[in-house]
Amino acid sequence: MNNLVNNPNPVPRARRERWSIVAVLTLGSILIFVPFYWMITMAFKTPDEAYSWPPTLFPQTWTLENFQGLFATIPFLRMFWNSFWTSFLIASLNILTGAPAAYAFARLRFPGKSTWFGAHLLSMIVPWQITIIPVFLLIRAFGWYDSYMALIVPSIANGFSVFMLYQFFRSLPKSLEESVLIDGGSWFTALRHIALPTSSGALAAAWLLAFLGNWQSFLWPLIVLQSEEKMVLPVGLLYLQNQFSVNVPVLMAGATLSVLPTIVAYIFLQRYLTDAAITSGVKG
Amino acid sequence: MKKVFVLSLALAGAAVVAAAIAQTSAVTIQYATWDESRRPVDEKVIKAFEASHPNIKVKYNIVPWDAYWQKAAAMTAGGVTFDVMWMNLDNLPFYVSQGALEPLTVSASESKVIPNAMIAPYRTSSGKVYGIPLGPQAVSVYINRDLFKRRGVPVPTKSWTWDQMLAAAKKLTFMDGNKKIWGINGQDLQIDLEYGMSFFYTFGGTTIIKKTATGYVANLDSTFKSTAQKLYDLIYKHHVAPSSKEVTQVGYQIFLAGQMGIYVEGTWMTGVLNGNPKLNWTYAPFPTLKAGDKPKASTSAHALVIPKGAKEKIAALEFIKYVTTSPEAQQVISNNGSLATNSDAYKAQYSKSLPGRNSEVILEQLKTGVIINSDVRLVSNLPEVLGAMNTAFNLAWTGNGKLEDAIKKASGDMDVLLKQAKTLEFK
Amino acid sequence: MTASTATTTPEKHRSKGSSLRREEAMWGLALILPSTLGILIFAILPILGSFGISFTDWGGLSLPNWTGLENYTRALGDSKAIESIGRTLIFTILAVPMGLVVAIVLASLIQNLRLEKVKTFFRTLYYLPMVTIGVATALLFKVLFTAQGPINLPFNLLGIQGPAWLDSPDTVLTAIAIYSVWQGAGSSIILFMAALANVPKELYEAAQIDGAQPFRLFWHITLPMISPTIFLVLILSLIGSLQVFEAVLVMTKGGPGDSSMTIAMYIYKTGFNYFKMGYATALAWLLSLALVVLIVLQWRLQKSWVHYE
Repeated sequence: MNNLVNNPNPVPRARRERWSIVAVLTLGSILIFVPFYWMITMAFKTPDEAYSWPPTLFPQTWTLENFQGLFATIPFLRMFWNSFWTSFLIASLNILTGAPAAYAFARLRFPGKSTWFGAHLLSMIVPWQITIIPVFLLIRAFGWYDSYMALIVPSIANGFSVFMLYQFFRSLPKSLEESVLIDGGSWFTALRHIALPTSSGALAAAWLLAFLGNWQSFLWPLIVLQSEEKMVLPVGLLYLQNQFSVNVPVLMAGATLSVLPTIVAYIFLQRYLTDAAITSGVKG
Repeated sequence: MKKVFVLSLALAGAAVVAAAIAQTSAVTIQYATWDESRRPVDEKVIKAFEASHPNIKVKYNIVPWDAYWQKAAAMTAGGVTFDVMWMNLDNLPFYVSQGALEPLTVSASESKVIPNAMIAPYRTSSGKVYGIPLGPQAVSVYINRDLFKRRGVPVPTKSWTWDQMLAAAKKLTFMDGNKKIWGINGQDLQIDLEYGMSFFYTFGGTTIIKKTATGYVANLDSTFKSTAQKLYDLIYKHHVAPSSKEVTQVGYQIFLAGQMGIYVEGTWMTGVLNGNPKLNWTYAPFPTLKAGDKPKASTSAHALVIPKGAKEKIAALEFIKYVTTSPEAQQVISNNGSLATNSDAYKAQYSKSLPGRNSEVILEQLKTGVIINSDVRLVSNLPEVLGAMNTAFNLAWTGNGKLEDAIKKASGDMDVLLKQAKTLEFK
Repeated sequence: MTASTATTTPEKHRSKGSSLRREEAMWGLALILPSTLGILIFAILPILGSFGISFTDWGGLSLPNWTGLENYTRALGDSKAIESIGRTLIFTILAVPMGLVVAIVLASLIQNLRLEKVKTFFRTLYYLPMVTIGVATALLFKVLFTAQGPINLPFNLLGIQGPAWLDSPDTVLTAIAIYSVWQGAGSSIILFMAALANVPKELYEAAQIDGAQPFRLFWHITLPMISPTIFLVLILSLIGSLQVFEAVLVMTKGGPGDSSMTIAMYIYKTGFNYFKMGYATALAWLLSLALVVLIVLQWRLQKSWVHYE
């Protein structure tokens, strides 16, 4: 996709055009950025200032009391950590189970292939309203209510990761793997030593998308987890809003602290996410 | 070197065993409430309980109101529950009818301490008790003394009428420099909520759902309509209460910031309002229609219950009885500005803990308080009926529809749902 | 239920020895086993189970009773459910075209930039909302959309009192649609950028020699060439919009009145607030059915406007 320009004719009039394009894009960026700016500055404003009208663009007096209020209301760090490690583990399990499956679907011939693949696709498109209650009943039958098992086990297999990696594996040239097979290597060797190393970018992207999916999910944890010490961040934020003493600056402090780390991480990892989303042609 | 290693390993092992023994001898009960504002009092009571019951630990869980019932239902369905839960009368019959609660055994000496009027709603027709009530909480009126003084409005101490309150609210609405001061809160006084319903009962209303020979029908009568109109007019005719378009904050934030003269809220907000030492607030009597009437404000007595799925039922019952009947707990509660289960016996402590707040009007008001919707709580789909009602009136109270239309819509939607209603078994 | 569909590919290499084939089949099954087991237990089994639940009066706490088609016939006469479907369609009409246009325009503008770094910068920035917790940004927009919020600042400068976006039935769905475009445009932009990059330059060069204007180029060459991606994004955003839930739950809970009560929110309320799990599940099945019909319909329609090479 590099160096491709739709308008390949760099005549002088193009310069003015290009500046107007940058201007429009900058305006768009401002629209993306302003809400975040508002959130961060609000988190540092005193309640008086936060509610004043017309609003101030910059905190007149900087205060940390909103963050203190946040930590006093919910165990923020604990929830952050819970969200992080469960998302990390689930995303890793998704790739661990999903990459071999995707590879098999893309390359191997075996009985029932289209049926099993169809099951994966079905799991991807069926709305959550259909499955949430029966899965909840399963959790109850296994005795996993209010345990991390309830959060992790149902998410181990991820139809979307399988589909995304399947698309990617299909686009790889077959020749290298074939040479492994001709040399007497097994399919597993071909997967491990040829297919996986060449697709690190796609694996990283699938992992990141799976991570984000879990990082953002709130309905399932809201329903299956109870203990405050097990609670994850999106639910914690929802709780923050639901406290009858709803306090907007504290809310914004919570939103800021939950959003900033992912933004920072994203700036370092964005290449994997956006590039591989392109190569695989699917969205997260 | 090796010896040291073995020794430390042995010591560590011993420590683990010791910890395990200590663990098994103490049980932990999970206690759930939705009331954040009661936290300081609750934590003191729990501390006192744990001090006198060294073998029981209490884990305090606050689940916000919006998530509480959904959480409770999911947990009950999930087979894992809290050991002690807060329960209100709206939801009690449903849980009892589904067999989700444990009947509680109360001894004669204990039931003597609990006022009969308060425990009666939690007793079934066959005499089983499913919940032991906490102290009463009432919808009450808070006023800002400083604002009253500034605007030359006399502070009501014993009684006042709606018209007097409205006149006060009008005087209390003004511009203070560039800050708007509001007379009274309005968004929360939506007719179907407990605040609005308190006015409905006080002005002579009896019930919003009538039982007929064949089933139930909505009963939004003339008292209901005129009360709704009065409350609605506070915002949209007299402009003494803010609409949601005029302010971002909710009522309590404006009152807490000293920018509202009269504030109708539950007594549960007392602790929060005490959090601002600069706010010179006091309770005021609940306004009546005519002088000499008695207020019939909503009084709630939430109860502590034990779900069927609770793991530590014995310890849970121990805790419930401690909170509701022990003199120690009653004193801690009363000394911290809340009402104890046996509130009559601890009046003095209660009033003393709220110096200069005219808490006598609350005690007086309790005598004639009513339990909201107590007559219709066996309607099987009551939460949904009330939900439909709330939806209809919300449109009017947010300034997006006429009150007459809202009443018509509420009445119609309620009737549709009430056609499917059954009477729950509560025995 | 699946053994009957074995051997989906014709056997070609019989002469090479069936042991190799058998080994391949074994490896295939072994590689898909963990994932498939998970999918069967936590997706397929629940799907079948929910179909059963939808024929009962199950309330969540006590045992269910079989009620046959009652839930489905009731849904057809449930005016609240029907109204919420109408509202969901209005939301979709607001959100999907807005999202498509914004994403196509921004993607082609970015694609027209020359410096790779600048491209990456904008692409990264527009994708930013996708990596944040939805609950957090929905809470943020709830504040932005208040009458006293910054979104009304431009109105204020003009001397007009801006609306309380989420407190009025006239604006609440628009506000939620704006939020979902803000949140979701990034991923569509990335898909469109990929599609635009694959449009052969030669097509433009030939057209430019004929003196075509940029807009005509875009209309007659770019759009048809990226139409498969437009179709993909359209399907994805239709599925997303028709199930809009999180933003509604956090921002309005369906209010004011029930003017933002979408079908997904209604199902949630019915099941979890009013304990009508059986009925809620039946509604969810009807929603899925509608989704499938819509997707099939789009599939049929695409033949007339999607251009495949």
